[in-house]
Amino acid sequence: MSGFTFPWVTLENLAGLLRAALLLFLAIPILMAASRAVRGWVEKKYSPQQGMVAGKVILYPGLVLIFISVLQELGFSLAPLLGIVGIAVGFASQTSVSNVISGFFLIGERPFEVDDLIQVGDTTGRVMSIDTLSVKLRTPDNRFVRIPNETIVKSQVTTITRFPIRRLDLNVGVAYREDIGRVQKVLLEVARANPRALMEPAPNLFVDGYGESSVDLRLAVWTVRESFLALKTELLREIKERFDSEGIEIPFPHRTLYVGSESDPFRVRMGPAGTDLREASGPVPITPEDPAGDEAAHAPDNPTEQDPSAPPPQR
Amino acid sequence: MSDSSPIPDDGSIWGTHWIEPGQRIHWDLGPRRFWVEARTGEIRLAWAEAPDVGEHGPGAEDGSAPDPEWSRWALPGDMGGVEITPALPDRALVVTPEQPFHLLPGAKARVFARVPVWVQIRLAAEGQAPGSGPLLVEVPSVVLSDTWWGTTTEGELAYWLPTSARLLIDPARHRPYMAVCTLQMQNRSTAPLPVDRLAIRAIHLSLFQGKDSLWADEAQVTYQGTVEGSQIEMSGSAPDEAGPTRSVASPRAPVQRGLRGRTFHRILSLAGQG
Repeated sequence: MSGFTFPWVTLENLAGLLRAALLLFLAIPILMAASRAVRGWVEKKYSPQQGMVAGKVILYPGLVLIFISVLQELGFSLAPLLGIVGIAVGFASQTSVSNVISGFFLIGERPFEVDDLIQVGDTTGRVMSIDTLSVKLRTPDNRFVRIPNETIVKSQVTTITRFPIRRLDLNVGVAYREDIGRVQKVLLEVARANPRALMEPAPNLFVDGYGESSVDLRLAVWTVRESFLALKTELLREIKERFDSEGIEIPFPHRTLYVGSESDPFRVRMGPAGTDLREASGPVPITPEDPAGDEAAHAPDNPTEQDPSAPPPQR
Repeated sequence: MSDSSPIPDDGSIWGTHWIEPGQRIHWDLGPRRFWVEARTGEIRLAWAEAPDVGEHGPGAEDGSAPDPEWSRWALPGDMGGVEITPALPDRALVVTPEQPFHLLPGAKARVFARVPVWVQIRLAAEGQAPGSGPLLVEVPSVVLSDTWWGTTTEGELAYWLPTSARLLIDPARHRPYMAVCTLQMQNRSTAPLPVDRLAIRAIHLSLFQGKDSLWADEAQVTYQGTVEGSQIEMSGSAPDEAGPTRSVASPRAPVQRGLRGRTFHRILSLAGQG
Protein backbone atom coordinates (compact mmCIF):
# COMPACT_ATOMS: atom_id res chain seq x y z
CA MET A 1 0.00 0.00 0.00
CA SER A 2 1.60 3.20 -1.21
CA GLY A 3 -0.60 5.41 0.97
CA PHE A 4 -0.81 9.19 0.94
CA THR A 5 2.29 11.24 1.20
CA PHE A 6 2.55 14.79 2.56
CA PRO A 7 5.75 16.26 1.16
CA TRP A 8 5.34 19.47 3.14
CA VAL A 9 5.20 17.59 6.42
CA THR A 10 8.69 17.51 7.76
CA LEU A 11 9.91 16.66 11.16
CA GLU A 12 10.50 20.33 11.82
CA ASN A 13 6.96 21.26 10.73
CA LEU A 14 5.54 18.52 12.84
CA ALA A 15 7.35 19.81 15.88
CA GLY A 16 6.02 23.31 15.17
CA LEU A 17 2.49 22.00 14.82
CA LEU A 18 2.84 20.14 18.06
CA ARG A 19 4.08 23.22 19.87
CA ALA A 20 1.25 25.29 18.41
CA ALA A 21 -1.30 22.72 19.52
CA LEU A 22 0.24 22.62 22.97
CA LEU A 23 0.09 26.39 23.16
CA LEU A 24 -3.57 26.40 22.17
CA PHE A 25 -4.69 23.59 24.42
CA LEU A 26 -2.54 24.40 27.44
CA ALA A 27 -1.84 28.09 27.43
CA ILE A 28 -5.40 29.23 26.80
CA PRO A 29 -6.95 27.32 29.73
CA ILE A 30 -4.09 28.43 31.98
CA LEU A 31 -4.56 32.01 30.86
CA MET A 32 -8.30 31.87 31.47
CA ALA A 33 -7.78 30.36 34.90
CA ALA A 34 -5.27 33.07 35.76
CA SER A 35 -7.68 35.73 34.54
CA ARG A 36 -10.48 34.31 36.68
CA ALA A 37 -8.23 34.09 39.73
CA VAL A 38 -7.05 37.68 39.38
CA ARG A 39 -10.61 38.84 38.82
CA GLY A 40 -11.84 37.05 41.93
CA TRP A 41 -9.04 38.37 44.09
CA VAL A 42 -9.50 41.98 42.92
CA GLU A 43 -13.28 41.70 43.28
CA LYS A 44 -12.90 40.63 46.89
CA LYS A 45 -10.32 43.24 47.70
CA TYR A 46 -11.74 46.18 45.74
CA SER A 47 -14.95 46.06 43.70
CA PRO A 48 -16.65 43.87 41.07
CA GLN A 49 -15.94 46.48 38.41
CA GLN A 50 -12.24 46.62 39.13
CA GLY A 51 -12.14 42.84 39.26
CA MET A 52 -13.70 42.63 35.82
CA VAL A 53 -11.17 45.09 34.40
CA ALA A 54 -8.23 43.30 36.02
CA GLY A 55 -9.40 40.00 34.58
CA LYS A 56 -9.59 41.46 31.09
CA VAL A 57 -6.22 43.14 31.40
CA ILE A 58 -4.77 39.64 31.91
CA LEU A 59 -6.94 37.86 29.36
CA TYR A 60 -6.81 40.00 26.21
CA PRO A 61 -3.05 40.70 25.99
CA GLY A 62 -2.47 37.05 26.86
CA LEU A 63 -4.66 35.92 23.99
CA VAL A 64 -2.80 38.19 21.58
CA LEU A 65 0.53 36.80 22.76
CA ILE A 66 -0.67 33.22 22.33
CA PHE A 67 -2.02 34.00 18.87
CA ILE A 68 1.31 35.52 17.79
CA SER A 69 3.24 32.60 19.28
CA VAL A 70 1.04 30.07 17.50
CA LEU A 71 1.57 31.82 14.18
CA GLN A 72 5.31 31.87 14.75
CA GLU A 73 5.33 28.17 15.59
CA LEU A 74 3.46 27.49 12.39
CA GLY A 75 6.20 29.25 10.45
CA PHE A 76 4.49 32.49 9.56
CA SER A 77 6.63 35.55 9.34
CA LEU A 78 4.80 38.18 11.32
CA ALA A 79 6.63 41.28 10.10
CA PRO A 80 4.90 41.70 6.69
CA LEU A 81 1.68 40.34 8.14
CA LEU A 82 1.65 42.87 10.92
CA GLY A 83 2.53 45.66 8.49
CA ILE A 84 -0.34 45.03 6.09
CA VAL A 85 -2.83 43.91 8.67
CA GLY A 86 -1.79 46.74 10.92
CA ILE A 87 -2.62 49.36 8.32
CA ALA A 88 -5.91 47.71 7.48
CA VAL A 89 -6.85 47.24 11.09
CA GLY A 90 -5.75 50.75 11.89
CA PHE A 91 -8.19 52.23 9.41
CA ALA A 92 -10.97 49.86 10.34
CA SER A 93 -10.66 50.18 14.05
CA GLN A 94 -10.66 53.90 14.64
CA THR A 95 -14.05 53.69 16.37
CA SER A 96 -13.01 50.67 18.38
CA VAL A 97 -9.81 52.33 19.54
CA SER A 98 -11.82 55.37 20.53
CA ASN A 99 -14.13 53.12 22.51
CA VAL A 100 -11.20 51.40 24.19
CA ILE A 101 -9.65 54.71 25.21
CA SER A 102 -13.06 55.95 26.39
CA GLY A 103 -13.33 52.78 28.42
CA PHE A 104 -10.13 53.68 30.23
CA PHE A 105 -11.56 57.12 30.99
CA LEU A 106 -14.70 55.50 32.39
CA ILE A 107 -12.67 53.16 34.57
CA GLY A 108 -10.48 56.01 35.78
CA GLU A 109 -13.24 58.51 36.42
CA ARG A 110 -15.71 55.94 37.77
CA PRO A 111 -18.93 57.89 37.17
CA PHE A 112 -20.79 54.64 37.86
CA GLU A 113 -20.11 51.05 38.78
CA VAL A 114 -21.54 47.64 38.01
CA ASP A 115 -25.08 47.38 39.49
CA ASP A 116 -25.64 51.15 39.43
CA LEU A 117 -28.82 52.43 37.80
CA ILE A 118 -27.90 55.00 35.15
CA GLN A 119 -29.63 57.11 32.55
CA VAL A 120 -27.97 57.85 29.23
CA GLY A 121 -30.14 59.91 26.93
CA ASP A 122 -33.54 58.24 26.90
CA THR A 123 -32.22 54.94 28.19
CA THR A 124 -32.35 53.97 31.83
CA GLY A 125 -30.93 50.70 33.02
CA ARG A 126 -28.84 48.84 35.53
CA VAL A 127 -25.17 48.44 34.59
CA MET A 128 -24.39 44.80 33.88
CA SER A 129 -20.79 45.29 32.80
CA ILE A 130 -18.29 47.93 31.77
CA ASP A 131 -16.34 46.33 28.97
CA THR A 132 -13.48 47.30 26.72
CA LEU A 133 -15.72 48.63 23.98
CA SER A 134 -19.09 49.22 25.57
CA VAL A 135 -21.26 49.41 28.65
CA LYS A 136 -24.05 46.87 28.91
CA LEU A 137 -27.31 47.79 30.57
CA ARG A 138 -30.42 45.89 31.57
CA THR A 139 -33.49 48.10 31.38
CA PRO A 140 -36.35 47.84 33.90
CA ASP A 141 -38.46 46.07 31.26
CA ASN A 142 -35.65 43.53 30.85
CA ARG A 143 -34.11 44.63 27.59
CA PHE A 144 -30.40 44.44 26.92
CA VAL A 145 -28.81 47.70 25.80
CA ARG A 146 -25.24 48.07 24.61
CA ILE A 147 -23.87 51.60 24.65
CA PRO A 148 -20.41 52.25 23.14
CA ASN A 149 -17.98 53.74 25.63
CA GLU A 150 -17.38 56.69 23.34
CA THR A 151 -21.08 57.55 23.45
CA ILE A 152 -21.06 57.39 27.24
CA VAL A 153 -18.05 59.69 27.48
CA LYS A 154 -19.66 62.21 25.12
CA SER A 155 -23.11 62.07 26.75
CA GLN A 156 -24.62 63.34 29.93
CA VAL A 157 -24.87 60.35 32.24
CA THR A 158 -27.05 60.39 35.34
CA THR A 159 -26.17 57.85 38.01
CA ILE A 160 -29.48 57.44 39.76
CA THR A 161 -28.17 55.20 42.53
CA ARG A 162 -25.03 57.17 43.34
CA PHE A 163 -26.32 58.52 46.63
CA PRO A 164 -28.23 56.53 49.24
CA ILE A 165 -31.27 58.81 49.47
CA ARG A 166 -33.30 60.65 46.86
CA ARG A 167 -35.84 63.45 46.88
CA LEU A 168 -39.22 62.75 45.38
CA ASP A 169 -40.93 65.86 43.99
CA LEU A 170 -44.68 65.62 43.54
CA ASN A 171 -46.54 68.37 41.71
CA VAL A 172 -49.95 68.95 43.22
CA GLY A 173 -52.45 71.53 41.97
CA VAL A 174 -55.31 72.77 44.14
CA ALA A 175 -58.22 75.06 43.35
CA TYR A 176 -57.76 78.77 43.83
CA ARG A 177 -60.43 78.86 46.50
CA GLU A 178 -58.49 76.53 48.81
CA ASP A 179 -56.66 77.76 51.88
CA ILE A 180 -53.01 77.16 50.98
CA GLY A 181 -52.00 77.02 54.63
CA ARG A 182 -54.48 74.22 55.29
CA VAL A 183 -53.43 72.35 52.14
CA GLN A 184 -49.81 72.65 53.21
CA LYS A 185 -50.64 71.17 56.63
CA VAL A 186 -52.57 68.28 55.07
CA LEU A 187 -49.86 67.44 52.54
CA LEU A 188 -47.11 67.45 55.13
CA GLU A 189 -49.23 65.24 57.40
CA VAL A 190 -49.70 62.77 54.56
CA ALA A 191 -45.97 62.73 53.87
CA ARG A 192 -45.01 62.30 57.53
CA ALA A 193 -47.54 59.49 58.02
CA ASN A 194 -45.93 57.33 55.34
CA PRO A 195 -43.20 55.18 56.94
CA ARG A 196 -41.18 55.21 53.72
CA ALA A 197 -40.90 59.00 53.77
CA LEU A 198 -37.83 60.01 55.73
CA MET A 199 -38.51 62.21 58.71
CA GLU A 200 -35.11 63.79 58.11
CA PRO A 201 -34.36 65.41 55.72
CA ALA A 202 -37.86 66.64 56.50
CA PRO A 203 -40.62 66.79 53.87
CA ASN A 204 -41.13 70.26 52.47
CA LEU A 205 -43.78 72.07 50.47
CA PHE A 206 -43.17 74.79 47.92
CA VAL A 207 -45.67 77.00 46.15
CA ASP A 208 -44.46 76.84 42.58
CA GLY A 209 -46.79 79.45 41.10
CA TYR A 210 -50.22 80.27 39.82
CA GLY A 211 -51.23 77.93 37.05
CA GLU A 212 -53.99 78.29 34.50
CA SER A 213 -56.47 76.42 36.64
CA SER A 214 -54.75 75.79 39.94
CA VAL A 215 -52.30 76.96 42.52
CA ASP A 216 -49.29 74.78 41.78
CA LEU A 217 -47.59 73.19 44.76
CA ARG A 218 -44.57 70.93 44.96
CA LEU A 219 -44.25 68.39 47.75
CA ALA A 220 -40.62 67.36 48.26
CA VAL A 221 -40.14 64.14 50.23
CA TRP A 222 -36.89 62.26 50.82
CA THR A 223 -36.65 58.50 50.77
CA VAL A 224 -34.05 55.79 50.37
CA ARG A 225 -33.40 55.10 46.71
CA GLU A 226 -34.89 51.59 46.89
CA SER A 227 -38.26 52.98 48.02
CA PHE A 228 -38.52 55.77 45.46
CA LEU A 229 -41.16 54.29 43.16
CA ALA A 230 -43.14 52.66 45.97
CA LEU A 231 -43.29 55.95 47.87
CA LYS A 232 -44.36 57.85 44.76
CA THR A 233 -47.25 55.46 44.15
CA GLU A 234 -48.33 55.44 47.78
CA LEU A 235 -48.16 59.21 48.23
CA LEU A 236 -50.15 59.93 45.06
CA ARG A 237 -52.87 57.58 46.28
CA GLU A 238 -52.81 58.88 49.85
CA ILE A 239 -52.93 62.53 48.75
CA LYS A 240 -55.96 61.86 46.56
CA GLU A 241 -57.73 59.98 49.37
CA ARG A 242 -56.93 62.66 51.92
CA PHE A 243 -57.99 65.49 49.60
CA ASP A 244 -61.27 63.67 48.97
CA SER A 245 -61.93 63.27 52.69
CA GLU A 246 -60.92 66.86 53.44
CA GLY A 247 -62.92 68.27 50.52
CA ILE A 248 -59.86 69.81 48.89
CA GLU A 249 -60.36 70.20 45.17
CA ILE A 250 -57.83 69.11 42.59
CA PRO A 251 -59.12 71.19 39.69
CA PHE A 252 -59.51 70.23 36.08
CA PRO A 253 -58.23 72.74 33.55
CA HIS A 254 -60.63 75.73 33.39
CA ARG A 255 -61.29 78.08 30.50
CA THR A 256 -63.14 81.34 30.95
CA LEU A 257 -64.68 82.63 27.72
CA TYR A 258 -65.52 86.29 27.31
CA VAL A 259 -67.76 87.48 24.57
CA GLY A 260 -67.53 91.19 23.99
CA SER A 261 -67.14 93.04 27.21
CA GLU A 262 -66.05 90.81 30.08
CA SER A 263 -68.72 92.40 32.27
CA ASP A 264 -71.60 91.26 30.07
CA PRO A 265 -73.26 88.01 31.00
CA PHE A 266 -72.75 85.07 28.69
CA ARG A 267 -76.15 83.50 28.22
CA VAL A 268 -76.35 79.79 27.76
CA ARG A 269 -79.42 77.83 26.76
CA MET A 270 -79.51 74.10 27.09
CA GLY A 271 -81.88 71.84 25.22
CA PRO A 272 -82.29 68.41 23.74
CA ALA A 273 -80.72 67.55 20.42
CA GLY A 274 -82.55 69.12 17.52
CA THR A 275 -83.78 72.13 19.45
CA ASP A 276 -83.29 75.36 17.58
CA LEU A 277 -81.33 77.29 20.15
CA ARG A 278 -80.70 80.18 17.81
CA GLU A 279 -83.91 81.84 18.96
CA ALA A 280 -82.02 83.12 21.94
CA SER A 281 -80.82 86.67 21.80
CA GLY A 282 -77.11 87.06 22.14
CA PRO A 283 -74.46 84.47 21.33
CA VAL A 284 -75.49 80.93 20.57
CA PRO A 285 -74.06 78.37 22.96
CA ILE A 286 -71.50 75.89 21.81
CA THR A 287 -72.87 72.42 22.31
CA PRO A 288 -71.75 69.10 20.94
CA GLU A 289 -75.13 68.69 19.27
CA ASP A 290 -74.75 71.95 17.39
CA PRO A 291 -71.94 71.74 14.86
CA ALA A 292 -72.75 75.24 13.66
CA GLY A 293 -72.24 76.62 17.10
CA ASP A 294 -68.57 77.27 16.67
CA GLU A 295 -69.15 79.59 13.78
CA ALA A 296 -72.27 81.04 15.26
CA ALA A 297 -70.57 81.92 18.47
CA HIS A 298 -68.23 84.20 16.61
CA ALA A 299 -71.04 86.13 14.95
CA PRO A 300 -70.81 89.67 16.22
CA ASP A 301 -74.48 90.53 16.24
CA ASN A 302 -77.61 88.52 15.73
CA PRO A 303 -76.60 85.04 14.67
CA THR A 304 -80.10 84.30 13.38
CA GLU A 305 -79.33 86.59 10.43
CA GLN A 306 -76.86 84.06 9.11
CA ASP A 307 -77.97 81.90 6.22
CA PRO A 308 -77.70 78.30 7.35
CA SER A 309 -77.40 77.16 3.73
CA ALA A 310 -74.52 79.49 2.97
CA PRO A 311 -71.27 77.78 2.00
CA PRO A 312 -68.48 77.73 4.55
CA PRO A 313 -66.04 80.62 4.34
CA GLN A 314 -63.04 80.19 2.08
CA ARG A 315 -59.74 79.79 3.93
CA MET B 1 -61.46 25.56 66.21
CA SER B 2 -61.99 26.19 69.92
CA ASP B 3 -62.06 29.65 71.45
CA SER B 4 -58.83 31.55 71.58
CA SER B 5 -57.06 31.74 74.96
CA PRO B 6 -55.74 35.19 75.79
CA ILE B 7 -52.33 35.81 77.30
CA PRO B 8 -52.42 38.72 79.78
CA ASP B 9 -50.29 41.74 78.90
CA ASP B 10 -48.46 41.80 82.23
CA GLY B 11 -45.11 40.70 80.90
CA SER B 12 -45.99 37.01 80.88
CA ILE B 13 -46.22 37.24 77.08
CA TRP B 14 -42.47 36.80 76.90
CA GLY B 15 -41.45 33.19 77.17
CA THR B 16 -42.51 29.80 75.89
CA HIS B 17 -46.18 28.90 75.49
CA TRP B 18 -47.15 25.26 74.91
CA ILE B 19 -50.01 24.72 72.52
CA GLU B 20 -51.95 21.56 71.77
CA PRO B 21 -53.13 20.85 68.22
CA GLY B 22 -56.49 22.53 67.80
CA GLN B 23 -55.69 25.27 70.30
CA ARG B 24 -55.43 28.97 69.52
CA ILE B 25 -53.87 31.66 71.69
CA HIS B 26 -53.80 35.40 71.22
CA TRP B 27 -52.32 38.42 72.91
CA ASP B 28 -52.36 42.18 72.50
CA LEU B 29 -49.21 44.17 72.36
CA GLY B 30 -49.59 47.89 71.87
CA PRO B 31 -51.78 48.53 68.86
CA ARG B 32 -51.43 44.97 67.58
CA ARG B 33 -53.08 41.65 68.30
CA PHE B 34 -51.27 38.40 67.59
CA TRP B 35 -52.66 34.89 67.16
CA VAL B 36 -50.98 31.50 67.16
CA GLU B 37 -52.95 28.46 66.18
CA ALA B 38 -51.72 24.87 66.31
CA ARG B 39 -53.03 22.21 63.96
CA THR B 40 -51.87 18.70 63.31
CA GLY B 41 -48.46 19.03 61.69
CA GLU B 42 -48.91 22.75 61.17
CA ILE B 43 -48.68 26.06 62.96
CA ARG B 44 -50.41 29.26 61.90
CA LEU B 45 -49.64 32.84 62.87
CA ALA B 46 -51.44 36.10 62.28
CA TRP B 47 -51.34 39.66 63.50
CA ALA B 48 -53.40 42.76 62.88
CA GLU B 49 -54.23 46.14 64.29
CA ALA B 50 -56.02 45.31 67.55
CA PRO B 51 -58.94 47.75 67.29
CA ASP B 52 -60.07 46.23 64.00
CA VAL B 53 -60.33 42.60 64.99
CA GLY B 54 -62.30 40.37 67.26
CA GLU B 55 -61.01 37.99 69.84
CA HIS B 56 -61.06 35.03 67.50
CA GLY B 57 -58.68 36.46 64.96
CA PRO B 58 -58.53 36.26 61.20
CA GLY B 59 -61.08 33.99 59.66
CA ALA B 60 -63.22 34.02 62.77
CA GLU B 61 -66.93 33.33 62.66
CA ASP B 62 -67.84 36.56 64.38
CA GLY B 63 -67.50 38.52 61.17
CA SER B 64 -64.71 40.71 62.47
CA ALA B 65 -62.05 39.08 60.36
CA PRO B 66 -59.30 41.49 59.43
CA ASP B 67 -57.50 41.63 56.13
CA PRO B 68 -54.26 39.80 56.98
CA GLU B 69 -54.15 36.11 56.30
CA TRP B 70 -52.65 33.38 58.38
CA SER B 71 -49.01 32.59 57.81
CA ARG B 72 -48.60 28.83 57.80
CA TRP B 73 -45.68 26.56 58.58
CA ALA B 74 -45.51 22.81 58.20
CA LEU B 75 -43.83 21.29 61.26
CA PRO B 76 -41.05 18.71 61.18
CA GLY B 77 -42.66 16.79 64.04
CA ASP B 78 -45.30 17.15 66.71
CA MET B 79 -46.34 20.61 67.77
CA GLY B 80 -44.68 21.79 70.96
CA GLY B 81 -45.11 25.50 71.43
CA VAL B 82 -43.91 28.92 70.54
CA GLU B 83 -41.35 31.09 72.21
CA ILE B 84 -42.25 34.77 72.16
CA THR B 85 -39.41 37.19 72.76
CA PRO B 86 -39.09 40.95 72.51
CA ALA B 87 -36.34 42.52 70.45
CA LEU B 88 -35.19 46.05 69.90
CA PRO B 89 -35.51 47.43 66.34
CA ASP B 90 -32.94 46.36 63.78
CA ARG B 91 -31.53 49.81 63.07
CA ALA B 92 -30.40 52.85 65.01
CA LEU B 93 -33.15 55.01 66.46
CA VAL B 94 -33.12 58.78 66.16
CA VAL B 95 -34.83 60.64 68.96
CA THR B 96 -35.15 64.29 69.87
CA PRO B 97 -34.84 65.44 73.49
CA GLU B 98 -37.98 66.84 75.03
CA GLN B 99 -36.17 70.15 75.22
CA PRO B 100 -32.92 70.59 73.28
CA PHE B 101 -30.07 71.42 75.63
CA HIS B 102 -26.32 71.98 75.69
CA LEU B 103 -23.92 69.71 77.50
CA LEU B 104 -21.12 71.85 78.89
CA PRO B 105 -17.52 70.55 78.84
CA GLY B 106 -17.09 67.98 81.59
CA ALA B 107 -20.84 67.69 82.19
CA LYS B 108 -22.85 64.47 82.28
CA ALA B 109 -26.52 63.87 81.60
CA ARG B 110 -28.85 60.89 81.46
CA VAL B 111 -31.83 60.66 79.17
CA PHE B 112 -34.50 58.01 78.82
CA ALA B 113 -36.23 57.12 75.58
CA ARG B 114 -39.13 54.72 75.12
CA VAL B 115 -38.78 52.40 72.15
CA PRO B 116 -41.52 50.12 70.78
CA VAL B 117 -40.19 46.57 70.64
CA TRP B 118 -40.45 43.97 67.93
CA VAL B 119 -42.01 40.58 68.57
CA GLN B 120 -40.05 37.48 67.63
CA ILE B 121 -41.94 34.19 67.45
CA ARG B 122 -39.88 31.01 67.43
CA LEU B 123 -40.83 27.40 67.33
CA ALA B 124 -40.22 25.80 70.73
CA ALA B 125 -39.68 22.20 71.69
CA GLU B 126 -39.16 20.36 74.98
CA GLY B 127 -35.59 20.60 76.24
CA GLN B 128 -34.65 23.27 73.77
CA ALA B 129 -32.51 26.20 74.91
CA PRO B 130 -34.25 29.60 74.86
CA GLY B 131 -33.72 31.46 71.60
CA SER B 132 -32.46 28.42 69.72
CA GLY B 133 -35.65 27.46 67.88
CA PRO B 134 -36.22 28.49 64.28
CA LEU B 135 -37.45 32.08 63.97
CA LEU B 136 -40.88 32.09 62.33
CA VAL B 137 -41.66 35.80 62.21
CA GLU B 138 -40.47 39.11 63.56
CA VAL B 139 -43.07 41.85 63.68
CA PRO B 140 -42.73 45.41 64.97
CA SER B 141 -45.38 46.22 67.56
CA VAL B 142 -45.45 49.76 66.16
CA VAL B 143 -44.30 50.61 62.64
CA LEU B 144 -41.79 53.43 62.92
CA SER B 145 -41.04 55.94 60.19
CA ASP B 146 -37.71 55.85 58.44
CA THR B 147 -35.24 58.64 58.86
CA TRP B 148 -31.73 59.38 57.67
CA TRP B 149 -28.83 59.87 60.06
CA GLY B 150 -26.23 61.70 58.07
CA THR B 151 -26.06 63.87 55.01
CA THR B 152 -27.65 63.53 51.60
CA THR B 153 -24.52 61.80 50.29
CA GLU B 154 -23.54 59.64 53.24
CA GLY B 155 -25.12 58.24 56.36
CA GLU B 156 -27.29 55.43 57.60
CA LEU B 157 -30.94 54.53 57.53
CA ALA B 158 -32.54 54.71 60.94
CA TYR B 159 -35.95 54.75 62.60
CA TRP B 160 -37.55 57.92 63.87
CA LEU B 161 -38.89 57.73 67.39
CA PRO B 162 -42.11 59.69 67.74
CA THR B 163 -41.60 59.96 71.49
CA SER B 164 -38.97 62.27 72.87
CA ALA B 165 -36.07 61.55 75.17
CA ARG B 166 -36.63 62.78 78.71
CA LEU B 167 -34.34 63.61 81.57
CA LEU B 168 -36.65 61.84 84.04
CA ILE B 169 -38.45 58.55 83.66
CA ASP B 170 -42.15 58.54 84.40
CA PRO B 171 -43.39 55.08 85.53
CA ALA B 172 -46.94 56.06 84.57
CA ARG B 173 -45.84 56.03 80.94
CA HIS B 174 -44.56 52.44 81.01
CA ARG B 175 -46.18 50.09 78.48
CA PRO B 176 -45.59 46.35 78.01
CA TYR B 177 -44.60 46.87 74.36
CA MET B 178 -42.17 49.70 75.05
CA ALA B 179 -38.60 49.34 76.22
CA VAL B 180 -36.86 52.11 78.11
CA CYS B 181 -33.43 52.92 76.67
CA THR B 182 -31.11 54.82 78.97
CA LEU B 183 -28.33 56.93 77.56
CA GLN B 184 -25.67 58.44 79.77
CA MET B 185 -23.79 61.20 77.99
CA GLN B 186 -20.57 62.83 78.89
CA ASN B 187 -18.91 65.73 77.12
CA ARG B 188 -15.13 65.42 77.29
CA SER B 189 -14.50 68.03 74.64
CA THR B 190 -13.60 71.65 75.30
CA ALA B 191 -16.74 73.09 73.74
CA PRO B 192 -20.42 72.91 74.70
CA LEU B 193 -22.23 70.09 72.95
CA PRO B 194 -25.68 70.94 71.61
CA VAL B 195 -28.00 67.96 72.08
CA ASP B 196 -30.91 68.30 69.68
CA ARG B 197 -30.91 64.77 68.21
CA LEU B 198 -29.59 61.50 69.49
CA ALA B 199 -28.95 58.21 67.77
CA ILE B 200 -29.55 55.17 69.94
CA ARG B 201 -27.62 52.14 68.69
CA ALA B 202 -30.40 49.70 69.51
CA ILE B 203 -28.88 46.69 67.78
CA HIS B 204 -26.15 46.52 70.42
CA LEU B 205 -28.50 46.63 73.41
CA SER B 206 -29.91 43.77 75.51
CA LEU B 207 -33.42 43.67 76.91
CA PHE B 208 -34.55 43.02 80.47
CA GLN B 209 -38.02 42.50 81.89
CA GLY B 210 -38.71 44.80 84.81
CA LYS B 211 -41.77 44.96 87.02
CA ASP B 212 -43.96 46.78 84.54
CA SER B 213 -41.75 47.55 81.56
CA LEU B 214 -38.93 46.33 79.41
CA TRP B 215 -35.55 47.96 79.89
CA ALA B 216 -32.49 48.07 77.66
CA ASP B 217 -29.07 48.05 79.19
CA GLU B 218 -27.62 51.46 79.82
CA ALA B 219 -25.38 52.90 77.13
CA GLN B 220 -22.62 55.30 78.07
CA VAL B 221 -21.66 57.77 75.37
CA THR B 222 -18.53 59.84 75.66
CA TYR B 223 -18.12 62.77 73.30
CA GLN B 224 -14.54 63.89 72.79
CA GLY B 225 -15.05 66.43 70.03
CA THR B 226 -13.76 64.20 67.28
CA VAL B 227 -15.43 63.81 63.93
CA GLU B 228 -15.17 60.03 64.01
CA GLY B 229 -17.98 59.80 66.52
CA SER B 230 -18.44 59.16 70.19
CA GLN B 231 -17.19 56.27 72.25
CA ILE B 232 -20.16 54.08 73.14
CA GLU B 233 -20.11 51.39 75.80
CA MET B 234 -22.93 49.10 76.84
CA SER B 235 -23.24 48.41 80.54
CA GLY B 236 -24.76 44.96 80.03
CA SER B 237 -27.30 45.49 82.79
CA ALA B 238 -30.48 47.45 83.24
CA PRO B 239 -30.23 50.81 85.03
CA ASP B 240 -31.03 51.07 88.73
CA GLU B 241 -34.39 52.66 87.98
CA ALA B 242 -35.57 49.34 86.53
CA GLY B 243 -35.44 47.57 89.90
CA PRO B 244 -35.13 43.78 89.84
CA THR B 245 -35.07 42.47 86.27
CA ARG B 246 -34.54 39.29 84.29
CA SER B 247 -32.83 39.09 80.93
CA VAL B 248 -35.23 38.42 78.06
CA ALA B 249 -33.21 39.16 74.91
CA SER B 250 -29.60 39.42 73.85
CA PRO B 251 -28.38 42.17 71.55
CA ARG B 252 -28.77 41.64 67.82
CA ALA B 253 -25.13 42.60 67.32
CA PRO B 254 -23.15 42.11 70.51
CA VAL B 255 -20.06 44.25 71.02
CA GLN B 256 -17.23 43.19 73.29
CA ARG B 257 -15.37 46.41 74.00
CA GLY B 258 -17.62 49.26 73.01
CA LEU B 259 -17.70 50.96 69.67
CA ARG B 260 -17.39 54.31 67.99
CA GLY B 261 -20.48 55.76 66.42
CA ARG B 262 -22.17 59.00 65.61
CA THR B 263 -24.56 59.72 68.42
CA PHE B 264 -24.87 63.48 68.30
CA HIS B 265 -25.99 65.63 65.41
CA ARG B 266 -23.13 67.97 66.22
CA ILE B 267 -20.61 65.41 65.04
CA LEU B 268 -22.20 65.31 61.62
CA SER B 269 -21.90 69.08 61.47
CA LEU B 270 -18.27 68.95 62.52
CA ALA B 271 -17.58 66.53 59.71
CA GLY B 272 -19.23 68.88 57.26
CA GLN B 273 -22.06 66.47 56.90
CA GLY B 274 -24.92 67.90 58.82
